[in-house]
Amino acid sequence: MKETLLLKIALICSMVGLVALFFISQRIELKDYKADFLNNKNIGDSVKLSGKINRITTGNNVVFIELIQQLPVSIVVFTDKEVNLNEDDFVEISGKIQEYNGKEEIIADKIKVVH
Amino acid sequence: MLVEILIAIILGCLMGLITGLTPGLHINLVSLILLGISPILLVYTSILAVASFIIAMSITHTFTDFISATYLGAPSDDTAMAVLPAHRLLLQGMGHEAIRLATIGSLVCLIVTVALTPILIFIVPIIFNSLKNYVGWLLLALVIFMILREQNSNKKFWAFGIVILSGVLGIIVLNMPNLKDPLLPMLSGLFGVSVLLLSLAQKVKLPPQKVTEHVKVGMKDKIKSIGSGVFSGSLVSIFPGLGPAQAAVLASQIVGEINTFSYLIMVGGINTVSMILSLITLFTIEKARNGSIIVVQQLLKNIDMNTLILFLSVALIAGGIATFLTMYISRIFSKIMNKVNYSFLSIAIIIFVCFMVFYFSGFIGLLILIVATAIGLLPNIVNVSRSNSMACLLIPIILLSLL
Repeated sequence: MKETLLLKIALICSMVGLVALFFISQRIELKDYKADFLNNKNIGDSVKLSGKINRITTGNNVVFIELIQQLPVSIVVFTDKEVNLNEDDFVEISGKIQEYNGKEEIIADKIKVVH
Repeated sequence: MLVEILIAIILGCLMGLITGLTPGLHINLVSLILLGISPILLVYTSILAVASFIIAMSITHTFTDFISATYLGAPSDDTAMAVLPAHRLLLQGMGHEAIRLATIGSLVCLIVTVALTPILIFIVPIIFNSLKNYVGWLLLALVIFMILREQNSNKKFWAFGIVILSGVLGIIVLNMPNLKDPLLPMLSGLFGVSVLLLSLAQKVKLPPQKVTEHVKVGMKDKIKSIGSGVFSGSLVSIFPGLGPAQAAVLASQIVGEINTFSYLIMVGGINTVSMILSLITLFTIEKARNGSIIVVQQLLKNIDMNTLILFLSVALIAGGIATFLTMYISRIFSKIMNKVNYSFLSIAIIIFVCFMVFYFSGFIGLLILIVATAIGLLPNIVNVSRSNSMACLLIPIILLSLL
């Protein structure tokens, strides 16, 4: 196999990879998350973030989640249904920033387990 | 996300080039550093971008590490079995040809393995579950075969002696507490420094390195090399303890007589295949065999089908880029080799290896390097196959599996 042919195959290989990457990235909806969002956003802003669940506590119609970011982020889920989440689950959360007892937290309206 | 992953791939390829060219700087080390700083990284980027960086780096490394193995005679566990035939071609002025053959193996095996992924997803769990308890016996049979294939009883005796010496060295080194990077001094001594010392003693003169394309491998040999590369690379990823070097020994026994050129294609493919298969085993049996893919596993825990396809796409792109990088850098090395005195270069490489060993493994590492070099000289003196020295990795794994 001549070097020019080898390089042509390499080019085709990269192109195929790029096309596959383009299509598959459309199907993976994992969004970026920023740990410092609480400092940059206002109370009431809708935000989306993802990360690993560090701790989960279940109360009466409420679930408290501590998400691992650069700083731990408190997530509150109000629900009357059973929540099937575990520690170490990688989740994507969307919700609104609220203030409670001087601390900011996210009131989640959607949680999706990614891994 | 797409742009972010593309940037991660390019950066990963560049890092893979650096790790491939620097003896002793392993991708596992870089991956572990990345894992350590991942909480900071994830503030600025996504977890998939970090994983893509690691995969691109790992794939590129499997291409570029043949450059240092060929031109500098500095093997890693991935290239230990390739350094000798590659060095042989270097001494014929065909260093670039050796790199070209290994790159053909890496790229074609990468494409074949990705194409076979739908089948491998079903086959891998079946093979893993039915053979996982027999790895030790398989490797023991391999060692016995390696000794028995020597031509006469005198050589068989010496082969046995080298297997025992290398095996004992391996057991001691791999069980040594607090020793960083134990493979670097051991493999550099057995396959690197010893070969360079012999070249110095024999006053070998390096012929001018030519960037040629004279070597042609027949289609039948090519298929044989690629097939055995994919097969043995798969074994590395499926079976615990089996490394690329052992797989190369196993494959070279299975395929029988193959020439140096075909052998380089096969060895070139093994590492790349094992990296891809690690992604597949991570998806199918939730186990990763390569250090860098284990880091990916720790970042993501498990991967789903979409993520697997994304990672295979990353591997294809990185493989293409790595081919260009490897061929380009190999040309530069060929030119540099023509300008330097080989004896001077050999001494410089030995000093460099000693420095790297001291830096990574300390005084104990230097001691291991001396002992391993002494054992590494034996196969040449008694005229038996140098692959017997691979017992340094085979014997510890056999004992671990059977005892």
